[in-house]
Amino acid sequence: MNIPQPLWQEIEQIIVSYPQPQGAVLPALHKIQERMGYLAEEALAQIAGHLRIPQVDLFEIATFYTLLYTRPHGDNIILVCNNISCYILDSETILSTLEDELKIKAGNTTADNKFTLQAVSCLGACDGGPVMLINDQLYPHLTGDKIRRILKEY
Amino acid sequence: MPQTRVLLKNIGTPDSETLDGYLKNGGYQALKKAVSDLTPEEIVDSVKRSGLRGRGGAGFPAGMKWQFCASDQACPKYVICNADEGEPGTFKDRILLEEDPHAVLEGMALAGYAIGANQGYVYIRGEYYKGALSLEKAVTEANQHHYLGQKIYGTDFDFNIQVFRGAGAYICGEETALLDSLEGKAGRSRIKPPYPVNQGLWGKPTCVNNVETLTNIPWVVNKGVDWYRKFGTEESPGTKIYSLSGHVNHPGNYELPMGATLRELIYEYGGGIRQGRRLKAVMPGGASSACLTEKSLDVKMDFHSLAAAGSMLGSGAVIVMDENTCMVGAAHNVAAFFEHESCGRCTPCREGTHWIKRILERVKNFEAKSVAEIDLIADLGQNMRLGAFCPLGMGAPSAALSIIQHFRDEFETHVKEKRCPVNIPAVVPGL
Repeated sequence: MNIPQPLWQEIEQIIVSYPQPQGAVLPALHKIQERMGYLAEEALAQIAGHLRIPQVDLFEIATFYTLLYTRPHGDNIILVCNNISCYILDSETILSTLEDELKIKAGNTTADNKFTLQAVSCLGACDGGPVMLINDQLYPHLTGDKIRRILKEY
Repeated sequence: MPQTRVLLKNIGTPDSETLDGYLKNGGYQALKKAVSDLTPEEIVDSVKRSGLRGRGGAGFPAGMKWQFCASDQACPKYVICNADEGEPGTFKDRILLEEDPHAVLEGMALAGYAIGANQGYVYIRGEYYKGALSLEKAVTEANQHHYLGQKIYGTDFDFNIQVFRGAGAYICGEETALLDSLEGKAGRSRIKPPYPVNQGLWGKPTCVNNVETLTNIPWVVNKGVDWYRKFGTEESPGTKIYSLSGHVNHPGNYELPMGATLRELIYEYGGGIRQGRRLKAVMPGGASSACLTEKSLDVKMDFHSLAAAGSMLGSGAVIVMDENTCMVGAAHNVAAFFEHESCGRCTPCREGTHWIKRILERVKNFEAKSVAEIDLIADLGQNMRLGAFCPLGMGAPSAALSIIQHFRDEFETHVKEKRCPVNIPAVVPGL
């Protein structure tokens, strides 16, 4: 999947807004992911070529960060915090409930491509633990019933 | 007892996140005062005399950092707001970013004026969508009304701010890894020196300050050093936003003068332990801090007192665990976090976090063959503290080591009797 022309124009604008072109890498990858869904190999290669950065560096960046995806993901991304504040409030049960409801293990996407489930580090909402983030929406104080109700909204 | 709300004063007021709301609360007056009436040197001097220490975790004197950066002759210089709040248990910066973004921007502009920078970046963690939107909107509004941009308050001072989103990596909260990330690389810590104040972003002098640190600045400039030092202790002046989480009745952000005790925070403000249970352990400064027990509840939560008690203030994330918490499970959870977040650059951290996690997994799953495995963790941890490049690796073993020190009997029961001495009833209803 190559980067379409209108998106290139937006990326160009990002590039010129940084004193050094490479500073635009993360913002550009965010933008590509936002528009194209994920970071396809061809798209990464194009950015690398354009910024004159070795392709391997771009692939390293794309795989280093948790929120960058090099494979297609579901329509909705569920991030479940599994760090200490949520863990002691039983986030493990929250995660297993989600796995049961969605019939997938964390790190995978449902067969209908509706959800991708990920266990992640602290989401910075520990006063609402256990928490999950679906796309940009935060859901605090989770319970089994609450999870089932929330999933129906999507 | 009411909180001492200085930094959180605007939170909860009408439209606090908008320029109008901020101006109604006296916003951008410190910037006006600074660029119109004060020299950069006077600002640096005020921040130094205020005794303000960095609120991100390290507690480095902010004024000293500014002075180092200001006295470097290289240009351009940069101001970076570290909004990569990722220390487990910490959620104070999120509130400031979402609900009082202009205070953060004003703090950055003041830093820029003081050190001689015209460009600032807010590095906000990728998970904070709402915070990033709030900041973007605030930057646009501030630019439109000339609180940022060219010729601020009609003076020759220009200052621009760009919001930069991270993409999910705890290590990027470490300032040199943050710089690498901003430069378009994987975020990995650099060896110091050189320090960012001399060679930071793109090799230029760069001042990296935490969100909460920067929101202190308008207060110092506006109200003066004497007013500021009325709060807190002699060596840790000011207020602190403590993020209280875990098994307490009322988790949340509480702003108190530095030096309030753990007991006050947990019992007076946090309403005590849920379901009337007893406190078992508390991590007073996030997942990187050594845990304390009931015996230490009267410790003052400032940089000096918590260090003297064998732990640290860190980011001010107070994580409370009740008597039903399996401490092997808690230690394993923290170890798994650090293993995942280690950037992999230096051997002590990459290997140390991995092996500590694996051994704790064995203990947790009753697979450890002898108690010697528990001692191996202490050995690994010691090497990490001494040999890791950056604070991630140095702080990673603190939780495990301190938990073993306080609760060794629980670990031994797991190893010798192949059982967990703590009976944990399900706490999640509706399952």
